[in-house]
Amino acid sequence: MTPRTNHPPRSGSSIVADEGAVEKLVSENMGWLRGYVRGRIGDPEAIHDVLQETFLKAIRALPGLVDASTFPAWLYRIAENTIRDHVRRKVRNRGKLVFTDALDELRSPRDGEAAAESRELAEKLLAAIRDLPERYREPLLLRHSRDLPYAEIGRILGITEKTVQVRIFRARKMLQKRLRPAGDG
Amino acid sequence: MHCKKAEFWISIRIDGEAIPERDAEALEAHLAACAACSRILGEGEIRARALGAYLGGGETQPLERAVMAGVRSREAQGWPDSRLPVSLERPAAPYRRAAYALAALLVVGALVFFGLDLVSDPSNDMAGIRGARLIYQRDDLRREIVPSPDGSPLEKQVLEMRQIILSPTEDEGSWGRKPFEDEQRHLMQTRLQKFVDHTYY
Repeated sequence: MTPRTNHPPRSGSSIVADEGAVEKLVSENMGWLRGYVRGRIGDPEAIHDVLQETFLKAIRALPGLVDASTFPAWLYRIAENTIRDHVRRKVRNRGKLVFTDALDELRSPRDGEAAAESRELAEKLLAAIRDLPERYREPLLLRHSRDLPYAEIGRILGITEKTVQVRIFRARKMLQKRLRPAGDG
Repeated sequence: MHCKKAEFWISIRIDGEAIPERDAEALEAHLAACAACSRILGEGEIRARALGAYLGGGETQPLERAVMAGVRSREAQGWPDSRLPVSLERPAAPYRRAAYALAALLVVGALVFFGLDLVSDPSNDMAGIRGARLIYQRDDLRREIVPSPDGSPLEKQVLEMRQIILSPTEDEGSWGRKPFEDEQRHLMQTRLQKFVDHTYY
């Protein structure tokens, strides 16, 4: 799934005057951005707040966007700043950052054993991913947030597709090492 | 294909991205023969599925509706949030501290540059000369000029020194002494006089 639109380049100011177009932008970009924010912060309430704040900031500043096709990259940068602000506030308020990963919406009573195992594995992986250096963490999270293709990840992060390939590969190698049971290899 | 290269292509295969035909064939052959790489592929696919389900799962419509409701509410109030547009938001603390330090340096630099003599004693017009280091600088060449013990006649000493400069010789990497041309001498004397007048008198 890709957030990139196939429309000819349009300016942000022409979009902001058209509620249907704003709604379309939100709908096209919500899936991958929610996945990314989930990957970065575990608290479900905070995820909602960060997403809301990110979109509102982006839409408010939309008239300043020259080419609306760059919206995903722009949105990503706003989200990243909002996440950092959130983390700073959280650290300041509590003195300690705790990732709960308590995603209620993913924990329905109908969850089978396989789903529970998969969720447990994802939480373990995310804990390790959050410790990766930013340059490796970002493309990996974007990749698994609605399966963004490498080309799109490159556009969002402002790097080449080849660099995305290499960083994701290195990120996985680092994860393999970190998740390897003690005494294995 | 060796395992290291195979692992690179395995990562790309897990993501369903295109692999050049020759590499894809070589990877398949390697996987058929290498249990360790097959295991890496299997584990990678399980992890990718788990992450994809976790990060991408759930409906997005409620969030989209909430965002649009927020947009409409802000529009109705004329975007009362007085924050600046994103690009003009207050920078993070480390950037602010760096900016303050730079501003302080600029102020001190400007004070010194525009004539604040921090060395000399106004009651003795030679004190500044005795206490100061005179540095002659031209391009990337820098030399210190040492005044005579009584501090005079400084201009003469410096002007004489100006008549000889260090210049690159034919042999790159070494330096030789070369007299000033007349035109250069005149230019340097004028500049030096301005420098001396400005700094010490």
